[in-house]
Amino acid sequence: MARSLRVDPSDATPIWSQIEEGVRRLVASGALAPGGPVPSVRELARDLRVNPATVAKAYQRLTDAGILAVRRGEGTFVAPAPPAMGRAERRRELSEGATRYASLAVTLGSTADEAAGELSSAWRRLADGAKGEKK
Amino acid sequence: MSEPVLSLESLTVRYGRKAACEDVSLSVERGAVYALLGRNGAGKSSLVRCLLGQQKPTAGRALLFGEDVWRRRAKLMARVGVVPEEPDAPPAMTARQLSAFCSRLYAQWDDKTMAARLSRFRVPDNVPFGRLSKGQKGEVMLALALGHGPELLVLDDPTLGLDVVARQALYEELVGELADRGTTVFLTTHDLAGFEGLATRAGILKDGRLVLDEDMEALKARFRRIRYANRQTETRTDFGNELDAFEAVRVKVRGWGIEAVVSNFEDGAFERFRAKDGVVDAEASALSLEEIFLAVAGEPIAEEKKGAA
Amino acid sequence: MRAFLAVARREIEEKRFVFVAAAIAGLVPFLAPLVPVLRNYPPDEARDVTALFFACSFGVALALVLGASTIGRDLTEHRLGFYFSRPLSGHSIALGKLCASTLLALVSMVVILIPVTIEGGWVRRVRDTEITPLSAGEMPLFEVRLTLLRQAGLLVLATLVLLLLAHCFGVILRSRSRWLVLDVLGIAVTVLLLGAAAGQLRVMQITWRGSEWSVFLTGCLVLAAAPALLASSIAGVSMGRTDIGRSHKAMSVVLWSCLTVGAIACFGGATWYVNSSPRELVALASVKAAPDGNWLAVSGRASHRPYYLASFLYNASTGAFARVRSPFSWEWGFLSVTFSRDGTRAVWLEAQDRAHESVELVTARLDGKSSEEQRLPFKEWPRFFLSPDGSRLGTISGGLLSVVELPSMQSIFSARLPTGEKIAWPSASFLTREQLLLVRRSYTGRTSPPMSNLSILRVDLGSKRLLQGVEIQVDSPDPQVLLSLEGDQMLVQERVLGRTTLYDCATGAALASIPVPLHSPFEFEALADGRFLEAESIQGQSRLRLTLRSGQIEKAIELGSARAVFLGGQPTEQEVLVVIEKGVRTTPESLSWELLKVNLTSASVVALQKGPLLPLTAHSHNDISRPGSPASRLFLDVRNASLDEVDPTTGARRRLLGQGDAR
Repeated sequence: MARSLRVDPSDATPIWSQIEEGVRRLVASGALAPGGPVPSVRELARDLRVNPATVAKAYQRLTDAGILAVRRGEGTFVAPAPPAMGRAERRRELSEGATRYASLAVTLGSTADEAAGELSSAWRRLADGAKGEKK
Repeated sequence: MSEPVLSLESLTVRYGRKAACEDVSLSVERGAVYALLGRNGAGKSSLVRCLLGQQKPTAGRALLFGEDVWRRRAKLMARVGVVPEEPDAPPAMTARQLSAFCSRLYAQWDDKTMAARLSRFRVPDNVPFGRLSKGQKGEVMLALALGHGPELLVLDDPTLGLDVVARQALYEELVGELADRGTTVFLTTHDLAGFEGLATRAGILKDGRLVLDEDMEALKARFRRIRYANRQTETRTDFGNELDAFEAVRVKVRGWGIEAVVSNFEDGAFERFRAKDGVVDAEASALSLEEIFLAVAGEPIAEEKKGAA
Repeated sequence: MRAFLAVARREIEEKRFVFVAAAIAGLVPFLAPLVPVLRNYPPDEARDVTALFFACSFGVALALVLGASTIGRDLTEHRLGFYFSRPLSGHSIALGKLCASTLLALVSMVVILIPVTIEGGWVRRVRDTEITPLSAGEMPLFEVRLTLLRQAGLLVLATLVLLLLAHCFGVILRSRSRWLVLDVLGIAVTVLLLGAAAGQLRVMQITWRGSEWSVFLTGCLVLAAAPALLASSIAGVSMGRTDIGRSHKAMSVVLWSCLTVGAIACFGGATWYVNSSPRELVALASVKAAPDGNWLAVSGRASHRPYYLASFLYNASTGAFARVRSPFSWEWGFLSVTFSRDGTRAVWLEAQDRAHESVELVTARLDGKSSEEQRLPFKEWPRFFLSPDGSRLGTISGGLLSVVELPSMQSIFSARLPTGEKIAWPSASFLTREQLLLVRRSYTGRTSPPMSNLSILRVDLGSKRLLQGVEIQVDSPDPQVLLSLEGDQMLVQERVLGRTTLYDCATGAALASIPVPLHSPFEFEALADGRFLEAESIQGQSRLRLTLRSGQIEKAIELGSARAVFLGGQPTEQEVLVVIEKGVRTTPESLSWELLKVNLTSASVVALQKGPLLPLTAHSHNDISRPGSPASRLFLDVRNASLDEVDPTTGARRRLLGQGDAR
């Protein structure tokens, strides 16, 4: 997992948010299997060279959201069945994500078409990648 | 507990008429990792010496765990681990002897962890300290600092002169400490990229004054680099007061337009900026800690001028 | 404590090799007998001495090297931060390192001596020593007994002091800070103050007996500085912490404050020591009263000030006094102070050094309150005398008679006098302001009579002439001479023949011969009316004998059984005070004394007081006191060494001086 999860400290997004995003992405794409292990806070912090508190915060949010689960004495795992989000919540999450993406695109000075095009490409890539890993 | 682990109150250090530190106040909470940045000669060494009770400040005071460290140094050092810039252990003592010496000074001393750490670093414990390599010396100093499980760790430029491998080892040890014990860390460094991820708060010392003292997240959120061109003014490269809202810290005028590092960035304000007359091709990008530092603490260079405004 | 031990242990562990070197050095003395220089000595002595020498040099070298490097090098190499980053107090760091270094030096010395001890007895060669400084009179002042234990203690202290000195010097030199100025200033001030204190004490005339005493005193001073050195070393580390400049500052400030305070205390102590007052005198050593008036010259021991003779000119009625730098001494058979007959001027000798190679004659006018001094230097101890009114001073020194006017010191008369081993001046005095009378004795060198010639010389200051008078031959190598008050008659005691003869000074004719007991005590006194009084005690019976002007015995007054009689002054023209001593001298408890008032006309004897009182008897022409003068009432209580006054009418006794502060 370390190889596919990267954070950029100089990015505008807070590190914990980047970690949270990254894990969500990996779980969503299937790279992290449900019920499978995730690196401990200590390990991930070491690999990413970030403050463990930051990792802990991201993990806490993910646990609260039901993406991760902590089993006492055993460590942290992907939740066996990441919850299906309620429609309203999903829409809200999507909306927030979309706003962030749109803001980024505007900042970079791209047009709406360009942004939408990039979005489709990325979606396709993730889907292909997940399929590839599942095989 | 709300009491800060470390705090400086109007700390001033003067040598004759020259001031190394002038009215520096900061505080570090429990569990925080504070990175103090500054150019050489900015006053970091004097500050660290006052912080450790090795020098009496000309004015103001340094407190550790709420107590004046100049007066109560010996008692407070039981809870502090120090890794100095220059390794200063007696050169004739081996790592094993150093461990034995330190174990007599503290109520708790974890011999096993120390030995494990040394073997992890591959430092022989029967070679006199003076004959170890620079990296090995640093590792021994760190191990000695951590051996008694301190609540506060003070590191003075810990990666100075270390190769990549040794540096990585240091980062990993620190992360391990932070994860296992939630140690508070205060460090001074030039390796901004290395500690960017670990630090929770940063301070910048410029000419003896603390010009910046902020949580990393907040810092990252408000600093941006903005690039644009201004078509409204006579030449493409003059700029008016459109950047005022952003509190520009550094403005460089280039051939193609203007590049500014601003310290008060806000999404909404940027939208309005982009919509301004004459502002063309405006982009904003985030900055690394190193770039922020350069903007705040670097010297202004000749071609940066505010245009006729 | 734990911290101190940890630091000390670490220091010792690091420098373990020192013991190895010491062990090797300990074997070298066994090769000593082979060295050519030492081959003449018995082998075990050569070995022992070499071992002792090695041990001392090793110890000294180690103390100096360790002292200079232990903390100093850590400071310059910025290694003290290692200790200061740890829960170690500044004084544990300093003390730990210093004590460890001292221990290293001391143990090394012991290690060097061990092999030789196993072999034999170097211990024999080191024994209790005594240090005895001597006083001006060659009497030992005190003994300092240095037992082996004390010597060992001093050795430990000396090693520590050497170490501390090396450390302080090391810090001062390494720091290159401007606080060096304070150090230079501090040394200067301390040395000046100590020098001034020593200057004050020179008055005590303690002999510097070769190097033993000088070394002892210097050593004491250096060792006394130990607490200051230790405190300043600790302060340097505690306050200066990791910076050598601040360390130097803290160390210098503490060191020079302590040493300056100590030096001021020494100076203050020395000043106090030599500035006592007559009322603080505990035991009087010598007293002389002016023939008239209330002034006295007194020497004695002041309270809390042993080994020092405080000397004063003291006015017994007003209490005024002036301090005299040299003690009044009997060194040449007469007390080195004299008064004018009217009691208005005093002259005394002050020696500049113990050998009395240069002396000063000091003269002072005695007012009711204070005195001003004039000084005359002399190379030889002079004979000196004052005119009756104190306006002129005569001196005989190195064959030169000189008369000067006082206080202007203008010379009035000088003349060469014969001088030599065989020449003495048994009497020299002013008859009046204008007339001097000198009696010269020339020893003929013969062992059979006649043995001496007595010559009378007169000096007339008005006409400035020295006149040779009559010559008398006597059968005594060193006759005692007593002039009458007017100078017209002279008693000459020829002790060898048991004869006292009264001569006429003008004609040289022998007027009368007075038999005196050969082996019993007797003494003569010239009375104010020109007659002579003799006191004697023969076979346990004492009496006074009064002579007429013709020399005939007028009357004898029995005083009762006594083994000795002492003549005192005259309370009135008709009376004389006398002390008789009864008992057996060999058992001091059996001695008793009685003060008697004898009326010369009626021959009545009144007992006034009991007690060991000795009169301040006049022995020379200069000292004849006026009847009724205060001097006649003064007595020395020899048991209490105090000066007492006895009222001749009532017999009441009052202590004037002595036993001050009940010590």
